[in-house]
Amino acid sequence: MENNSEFNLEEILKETTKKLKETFPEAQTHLLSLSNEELQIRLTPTQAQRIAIDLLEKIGYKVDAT
Amino acid sequence: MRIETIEMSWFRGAANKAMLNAGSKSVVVYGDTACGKSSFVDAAEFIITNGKIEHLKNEFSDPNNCVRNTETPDDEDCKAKISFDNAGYIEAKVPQTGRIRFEASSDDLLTAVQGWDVQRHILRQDEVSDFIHLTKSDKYSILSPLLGLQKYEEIAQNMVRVRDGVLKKSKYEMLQGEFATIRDEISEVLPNVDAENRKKLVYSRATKYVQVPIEENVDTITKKAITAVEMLLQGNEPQVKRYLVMQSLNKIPIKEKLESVIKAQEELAKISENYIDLKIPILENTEKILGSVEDLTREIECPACGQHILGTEFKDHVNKELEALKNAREGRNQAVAEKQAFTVALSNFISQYKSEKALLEWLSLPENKEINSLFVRLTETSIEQPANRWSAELIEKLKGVINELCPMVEREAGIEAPTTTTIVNDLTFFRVCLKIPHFECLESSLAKIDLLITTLDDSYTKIREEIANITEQVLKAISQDIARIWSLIHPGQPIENVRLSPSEKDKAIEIRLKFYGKEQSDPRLTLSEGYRNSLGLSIFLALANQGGAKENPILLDDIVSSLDREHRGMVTQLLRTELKGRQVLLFTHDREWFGELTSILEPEGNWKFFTLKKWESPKVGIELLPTTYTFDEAEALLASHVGSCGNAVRGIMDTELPKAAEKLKLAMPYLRGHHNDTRMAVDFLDDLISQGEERFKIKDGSDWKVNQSAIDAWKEARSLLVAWANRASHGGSLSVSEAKQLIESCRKALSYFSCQQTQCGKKAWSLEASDNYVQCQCGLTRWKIA
Repeated sequence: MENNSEFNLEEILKETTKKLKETFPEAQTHLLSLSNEELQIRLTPTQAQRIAIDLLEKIGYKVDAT
Repeated sequence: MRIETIEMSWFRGAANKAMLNAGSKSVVVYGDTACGKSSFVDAAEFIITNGKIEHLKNEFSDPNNCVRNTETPDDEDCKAKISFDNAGYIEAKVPQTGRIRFEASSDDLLTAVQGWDVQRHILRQDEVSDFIHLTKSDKYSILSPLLGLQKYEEIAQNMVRVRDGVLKKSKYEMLQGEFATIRDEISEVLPNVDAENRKKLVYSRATKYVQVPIEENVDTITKKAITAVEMLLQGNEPQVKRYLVMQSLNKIPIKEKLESVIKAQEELAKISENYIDLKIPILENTEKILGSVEDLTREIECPACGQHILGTEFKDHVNKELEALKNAREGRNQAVAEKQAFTVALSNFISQYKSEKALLEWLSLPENKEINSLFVRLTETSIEQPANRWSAELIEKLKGVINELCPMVEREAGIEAPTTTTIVNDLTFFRVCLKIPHFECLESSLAKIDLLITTLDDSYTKIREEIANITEQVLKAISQDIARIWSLIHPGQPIENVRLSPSEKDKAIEIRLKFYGKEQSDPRLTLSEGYRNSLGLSIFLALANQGGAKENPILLDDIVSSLDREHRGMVTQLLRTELKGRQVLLFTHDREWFGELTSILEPEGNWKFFTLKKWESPKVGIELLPTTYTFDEAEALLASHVGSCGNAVRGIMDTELPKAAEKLKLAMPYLRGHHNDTRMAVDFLDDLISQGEERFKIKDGSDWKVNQSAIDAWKEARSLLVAWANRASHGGSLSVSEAKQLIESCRKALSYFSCQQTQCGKKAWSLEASDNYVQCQCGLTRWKIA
């Protein structure tokens, strides 16, 4: 049952981040840099927000520290 | 991996020590209700789940005490231990207080066992059909980790978590709200206006309130206008007053008056006006002068111009000179009058300017600096007496100020004092205009964030699509197993094509089947409780049979309680076939099924059978007997529960007689496939007694004779069962001596199913069968088949 059909996360993300790449290549790079292993474990809200902040900064949005 | 033993000390129902010695084989443990069967299952679950037991989850606020025997001595630990066939072990120690400790022969073993999905290793009676009753979403949640999809689910959910993080950290909702508000405001005051036209509109409106240098930035103009309009709103009355003064000032023709002064002065400059006032009286006295002149042929000096004129021409000369002087005087007087008029007008102008506070306040605004300075310059200009000739410098000074000031006053006077509504509308307009740069910034930010969110959403959707594909493949494989197991339990029945199927709704799984040829999306629509349970069992076994888990033991706790005899029999076959290579730890309170299992599985050689003694108290705990059937259980009741003893004996006979009867092919409605769950021990004894005289023979020399002692023993057992066991089971009393006699009689009755010949003693079910007889291998005992 443990399925044999592993899917390639990087390929999926490459496909779904094409538009992002056109305007904000750094943001795409950052998203692709998140490893499969890292994403397979439930992110805490703090971890998820840290990634979110990084992505926002890569698209040139300054996050209000407050 | 197989279980060697499960041991417990002061764990749940166990006292000092209770050990199930499976010896790596499959086991069937029989025990009446509340004998401690589930304690073994609890021990296994406790170890697998790192200290949790699902059915006690609501009690886990105190995890230590919910598994501890209430009589645990202070100096004893509550323990549960599983030993495995690889000499490894895991032991859980539960102190009265403090942390539960797990000790293992190796970390790898601990990690491996605690990585087992409990839902694929343990199935309990009250959980058999739980899966079927779950919502489709809950089915998915339960199956997701079992299907190996959990990691993909986490990836998908992490996309959502990051997306939520983006929304939170960008304050997206607030931005959206702000954007929508400003967008609405803009569309109200500037519908369909592009940047260029907006600029024109701003300039046009701003001129009502401030000076608008065309080169000034539109935002600067807007800010100035807002300041001006806000001040207006603070005091609309001063604005009106200022407007009235401006109108009044505009009506004072100081500019025109000054122009007249200038013209008069220019005219005056053309003549020499010196001594006009002195010369005119002299000339007017010309007659007197001529009267005093004796000789008019002589020249006379003109007192006005000093020329020497002949006396005869003198009078004409004087008249001409006098006219010129009079004209000069008139011009001079005119100039004085003009200067006086200007001075009055100017005085009036300055007086009005100075007297209106609203005007002075308005002039003090920074944006009115220019016009204010003109007013000040005008006020500070020293005006000479009208009678005096004004210097060119003064004239130029006045001209410079007035020519600049008057158009400004005229413009201000031309600007009608706006109404409050107009002011408010204009203020709204300017304020909205001022927000446009921020609006554009918001629009840009939102577009960026939207792109990021869309990307994360797309990623989530794509991952979910992949999960759905994998789910479909995996469910297809599992469904094949479920259908196969179902068909083993329910062969040839019109409930078919049982399968797990992804629901149309995302993250949901449904159980589908064909009921009499009609497709059904939920077993609850058509299946009885018993069928649901057998379906639940099929699903459990199919899941337990998948992947690496198929090498692990499974624990089945009272799983057939709602199945009828026929389907219990099918489950027995399932254990023989489907689960042949698997270690199964089966617990049941169904004595009849236990008997059937013993009879069918024992010859397989890879099964062990145990009976649990009736549980007495926490101090005595769980007691396990390694036997197939026994009257020990009944005897154990003699001391304390003699009333239950009769029932126990009857239960044993109800179980054992059918097993023997089947082996002897007793012609009565017992054979599997008949739906008859009402057969009792007495029914079997009646048939054994009635047929025994013809069929049950023992060798007597060269002849065969009726096994009369067996028939007598059966008759006695029958009579006591009717007289005492039935009475006891219906609430009647039973004495200890009666109970002992009942046990002994039944033990004797059963003993005839073993060969009674000396040095034989084989059980009836080890008899060899032929077409006509079942016969002991010693050849001395046989039962004729009908």
